[in-house]
Amino acid sequence: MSAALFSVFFHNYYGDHEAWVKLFTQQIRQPFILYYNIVEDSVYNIGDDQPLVSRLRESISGSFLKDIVLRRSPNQGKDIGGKLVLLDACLHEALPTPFSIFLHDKKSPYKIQGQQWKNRLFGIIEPDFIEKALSSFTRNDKLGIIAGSSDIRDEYDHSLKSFISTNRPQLQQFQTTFHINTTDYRYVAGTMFLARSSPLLDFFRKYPPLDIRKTLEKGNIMDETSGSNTHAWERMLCWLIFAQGYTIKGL
Amino acid sequence: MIYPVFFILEDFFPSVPDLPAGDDIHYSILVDPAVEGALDSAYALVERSGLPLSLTLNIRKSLSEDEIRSITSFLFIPGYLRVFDRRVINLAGENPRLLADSAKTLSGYLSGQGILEPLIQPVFPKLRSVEELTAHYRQLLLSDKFESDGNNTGIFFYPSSETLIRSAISSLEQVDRTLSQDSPGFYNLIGRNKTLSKELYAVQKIHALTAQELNNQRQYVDVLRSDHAANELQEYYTREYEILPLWFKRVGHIVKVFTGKRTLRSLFRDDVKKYKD
Repeated sequence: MSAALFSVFFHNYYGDHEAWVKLFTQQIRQPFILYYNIVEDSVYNIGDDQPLVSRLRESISGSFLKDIVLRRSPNQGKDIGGKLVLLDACLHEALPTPFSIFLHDKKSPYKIQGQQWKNRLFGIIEPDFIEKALSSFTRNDKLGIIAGSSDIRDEYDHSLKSFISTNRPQLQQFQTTFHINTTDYRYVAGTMFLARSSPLLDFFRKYPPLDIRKTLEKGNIMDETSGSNTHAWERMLCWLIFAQGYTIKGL
Repeated sequence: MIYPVFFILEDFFPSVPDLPAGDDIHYSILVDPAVEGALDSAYALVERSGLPLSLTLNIRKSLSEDEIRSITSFLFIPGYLRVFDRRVINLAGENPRLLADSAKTLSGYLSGQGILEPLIQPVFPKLRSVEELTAHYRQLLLSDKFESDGNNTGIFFYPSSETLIRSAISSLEQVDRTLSQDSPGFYNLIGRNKTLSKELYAVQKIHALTAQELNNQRQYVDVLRSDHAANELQEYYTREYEILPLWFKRVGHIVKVFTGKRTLRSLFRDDVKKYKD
């Protein structure tokens, strides 16, 4: 069995698990491990896990999917909370993969363009995109993150030296608490991107994912009118990589 | 089994898939969190087990932050034992105060993770022989501590071999059979009550999750109806399209015709089909 190249971290709220696993096995043409978090207190995810685990494991044979690591967690911190549970599981593995892919079953039912946005975000697991991303990572060893170019945002106003964001207080606090020293404040809206695993895992070995997860808000959180720790961590997931000397590229 | 029994696997890890399974037969791995590597070994076992497993923690001193975090990692594994959706952690040890403090510390951390009602229970008494176990089981069934809806704390048995597990289960099933022969009405009612309690729990859960989702959907509708969404769309339209020069937009419509997105006739007439499906 060839060693996995990618760890795919996928957070699921809306169910349809077999369809998702099928999508990943069809799209990703490099050996990968699927870390899959199911929100247990979602009406879409009622059911017994054991038959599901067996069925999903059976679907592995013959594909590039080398293993499925399933987790089940309460709805806390939305997809960020789920991804932190998965990162915690990943840290228990002896041999981490060189690259990671962050995904979740984004629906954004409160956004008019939610569906278009979701389709665009999932473009990062198109075979061509992954090929180009791998090539870019190989050419530039200081490249930490690759995402769709139209999803890379920056809320920092350099003239005001402040964030134009409802999450500003949380961002400033976390930068201090977690010693995130970066002047690059770009991030990937939607939190779906490819990353080099080493800076990410180095950070979470120092600051355990579950300790961060406990500070995230419970239930359905939106930052339309006020900020949240959860949405601040959407940004921080990129910045913690930049703070270790890496940069971002849009494809 | 009428009353839940926890088989605490102490000195040996039997071949888990071969262990006898059944209603209210639970398996738990005894781990001393203070022993280096003990939690890691148990983690690998729970991860790959086909049977639900729980932890029985041998508490000799206060749990450290690292230990609490490691224990929490187990609880997200789908194969970790839950009773009525409550994750089970057994605490074994000689110092009741230390056990109570450990339970409190663990509960606090788990609550921070959204795990609101873990079933953290002290292991008492520790039963080591099949005779002791059977006598205790029989006594509990006939006592006023027995809850016929199945919401009972467990009995804790430390088997020294896989053979002893099978022997214990066989012995307890004999107690159940005796009860069913001596008091068939009572025995049937217990079974019925347990089944209905499980069904009620499942329905209550679906109800609570549906109500929660309905509330989420209300919030989404509120956001969609608010000015926010309309403004977002208007700004997007203005920035992406409206600011373009008129001649460019007109050329764009011709491009649409060439790319098959718009009908040619619609460039000249308003009463024909404009866009192709």
